[in-house]
Amino acid sequence: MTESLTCNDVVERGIVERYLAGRLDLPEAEAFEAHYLACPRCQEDLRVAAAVRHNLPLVTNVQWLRRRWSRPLLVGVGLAAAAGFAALFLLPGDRVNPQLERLGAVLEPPVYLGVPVRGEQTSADSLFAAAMSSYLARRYDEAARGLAVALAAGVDSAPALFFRASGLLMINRSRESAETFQRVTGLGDTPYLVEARLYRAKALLRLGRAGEAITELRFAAAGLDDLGRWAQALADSVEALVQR
Amino acid sequence: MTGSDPPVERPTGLLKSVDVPAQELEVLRRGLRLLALRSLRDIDLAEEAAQETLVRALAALRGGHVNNPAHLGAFARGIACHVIADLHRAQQRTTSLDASQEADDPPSADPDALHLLVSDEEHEHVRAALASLSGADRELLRLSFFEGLTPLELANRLGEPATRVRKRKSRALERLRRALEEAGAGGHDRRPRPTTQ
Repeated sequence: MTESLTCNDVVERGIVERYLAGRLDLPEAEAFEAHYLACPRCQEDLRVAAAVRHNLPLVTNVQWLRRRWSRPLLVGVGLAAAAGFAALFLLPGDRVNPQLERLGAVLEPPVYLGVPVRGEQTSADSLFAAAMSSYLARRYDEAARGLAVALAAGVDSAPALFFRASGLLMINRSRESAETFQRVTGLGDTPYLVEARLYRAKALLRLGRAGEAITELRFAAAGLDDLGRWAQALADSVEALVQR
Repeated sequence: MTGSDPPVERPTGLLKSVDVPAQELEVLRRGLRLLALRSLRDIDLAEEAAQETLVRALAALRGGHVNNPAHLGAFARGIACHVIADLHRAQQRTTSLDASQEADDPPSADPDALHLLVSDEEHEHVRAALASLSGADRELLRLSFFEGLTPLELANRLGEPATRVRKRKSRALERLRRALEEAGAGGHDRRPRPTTQ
């Protein structure tokens, strides 16, 4: 017997969102389809949701590119280095497809070029600077710990989170890295947004979470610059692998 | 349900039935179009599937095969699944030289096919509305519609109270609905969603 849903159930349980993201189990999906066939409100919500899915990646990346033209980035990312796909890491567990793991490899970390400090340097800024010295010296574990301390002291969260996530990625703490990059994207429009998505995708690939990685890469791929093209190529590779 | 159904008279124009008001039939038709489009990824085929399903559903209604009108959606969905599978097989056989295997595969759902029901003008309005949102609100929408997070999961992920997250999301979606309406999407029976659930 198919469960009977109300519109409130649909909203409360995020059913439209999960339906489109492919996160509903079969009985729930059947129940929702039986509901929306006779529900104009949920039909309209599906249309809105479909429009969001179609347009959100475009808007997000166009705005990011505009900002990039309008003011210099504080941080550059090693694109050429990042484009390397060779495996560097041995990953825990044996369930992740080795080819997926290889696509998640990163030869070189995101490049740090320095963050100018406005006004007087605070103790949090000093902690950040010390941690980034460790990062530049490739002592990523130390850098990640130092950045956590700097964050707790109140340093600007976007760069600190981004490079903490990058450090975690380089020492193969993929789950924590993915979560920390997620916190960067959760901040919204920052200069780190697209890069955070790309490197989060790398972490997700190492964890075998190909679907989520493709989502992140598709967002990053909407841009027409080198970063976008790289994301597109990586997304295509992952999709081809998943389809095989 | 598919091959053994008795032949039925195919109605022209707006479907009418003594059992189901025409307005409800039109709602059903729109819903069937959405359902079919996910699998068939073609507007015309989806329209055909919706029409065929309605014809079969009406025949069943007139034959007294649906006792509870509240179950009409589930009943129509059951018919639609057969119709969609039939159309999918027919589509595969006309496009593939190797008809034997591919044609028998069930159609897979493509959620992004639904955007075909949104006109170019509506897409433009939605893009403008999305651009007017804050980055944090766009990220909230991304987490909702791409990662499929529930309201509670969103609150946990963003580290904000659930009520605030729900209000932000509700406001953002309302702006997008208005954008669709302004682009001429009207005509749907749409009532505001509650914002405090």
